Amino acid sequence: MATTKRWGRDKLSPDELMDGLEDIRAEWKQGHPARAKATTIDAIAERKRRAHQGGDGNHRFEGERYINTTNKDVRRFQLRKLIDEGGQDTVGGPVPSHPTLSRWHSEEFGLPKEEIDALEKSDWSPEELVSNGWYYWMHRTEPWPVLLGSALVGEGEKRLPEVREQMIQDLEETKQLYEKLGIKDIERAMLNQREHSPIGADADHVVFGEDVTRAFVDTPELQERLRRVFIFRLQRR
Amino acid sequence: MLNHPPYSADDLKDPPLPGPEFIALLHQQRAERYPEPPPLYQLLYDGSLTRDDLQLWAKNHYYYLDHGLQFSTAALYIKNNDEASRTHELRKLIKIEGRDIVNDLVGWTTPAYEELWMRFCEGLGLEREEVTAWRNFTRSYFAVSTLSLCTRWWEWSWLDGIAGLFASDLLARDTMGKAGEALQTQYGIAEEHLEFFRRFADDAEEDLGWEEATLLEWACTTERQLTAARAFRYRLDIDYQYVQPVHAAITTGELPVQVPVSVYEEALPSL
Repeated sequence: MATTKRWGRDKLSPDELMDGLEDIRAEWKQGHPARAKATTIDAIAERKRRAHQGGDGNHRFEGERYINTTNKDVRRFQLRKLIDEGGQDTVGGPVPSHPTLSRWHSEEFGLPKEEIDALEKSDWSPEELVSNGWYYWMHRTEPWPVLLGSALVGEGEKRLPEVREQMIQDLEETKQLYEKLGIKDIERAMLNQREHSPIGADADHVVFGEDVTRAFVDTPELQERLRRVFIFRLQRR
Repeated sequence: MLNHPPYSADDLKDPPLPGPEFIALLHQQRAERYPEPPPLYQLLYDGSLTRDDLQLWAKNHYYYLDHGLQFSTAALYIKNNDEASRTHELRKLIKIEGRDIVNDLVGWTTPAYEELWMRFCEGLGLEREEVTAWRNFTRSYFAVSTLSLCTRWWEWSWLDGIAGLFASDLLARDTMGKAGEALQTQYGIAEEHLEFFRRFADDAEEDLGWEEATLLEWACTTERQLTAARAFRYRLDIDYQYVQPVHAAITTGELPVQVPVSVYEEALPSL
């Protein structure tokens, strides 16, 4: 952030706020490179088992963002996002919920429905317990602009051109990998990844997250709170 | 759980009722507790209300539709880890907040319940500002506060909340369609202002099926049945309490106590 302003004391302009958060992300990434991709059926299946353990919490954090938002227009856009992620098919649309898409992906890698059900009912690891516990606690205690701004860490990263390009490239690489691994229904296996890519429903959500952050994280106190949440979310990954 | 002591081993010694018997018990408890619709609605059906009475009801009911239903349904959605019933709650939220939210997806155009209710208010000759400036009756405000408390935090489980939805939708189905007909035939309100009533009653009817199915599947222990039945009864209490002060105002000629300022005025500064 090419400014002498200080977090929590001076009000940052929307551009300064966004640049400041990206500076934090860039610094974090330097010391914490992304983990290597799983490239075998067994390795992917094992990662999926860990992902299903303890159940899916999308409705919990996205729902907390929704219920806490007091601006009616913003709140209703967040509800539209709940539909995208909680299941467009709820209202007759084409795409099922993200948890369902994740299950489809797992099923294509040999995880039976019964095993996924059992995993969802099993305990989290201790690390997952405290990490997720903080995440939901944060969603119940931070002001709504910070909650919506916190999405910049995950899906919001796709606003960066280099990340968008990489994710689109990843789609093609994943397809090739799945062909090589002999996955039967590649389209079904990849729908979850596609939905989370810049060409899926997340694309609108990214713009929403940035617009809301620029418009409503507009005091030194809110900006400092978002800075802290942003760091915690990076540390949680 | 509100202030009630926990159920003891003795309370829980009997096996749970078979599902259909549990549902029948809920209907029986409703019939015993509230054999009649809220007295205000009976006056409405009888054609006994004046235009001023209708305006009073309309102004006071907006807060329930604009905030009470939205907040409480959202709270239940968040605490529901059963995807099958949760998706129904999500659809219910869309009905409350406006089907037009998913216009790009499925072409729906109906706005939020609160907007449909505003159009009803306009049909009664009210300005929108009059509705949002209205200081709700305190008991109605308390009713929404109680609903928000029970749905948002630990007082009701996700399943208790669905028992509450079941109670509220039974009441809505039985009262609101009839209210719309009475408003048109007995009070001469134009149909264009009455879309809310048909929508609300139809939506309630549509949701009763999944609510009952969820209770049949998941209220499978004695303790779950006991707490769900209590939530069912309490949700009826809440909905009846919401409209009670309007009836009191109309029948006594005196306004019951009201909130100090409209709930739509700017929030108080934090302490």
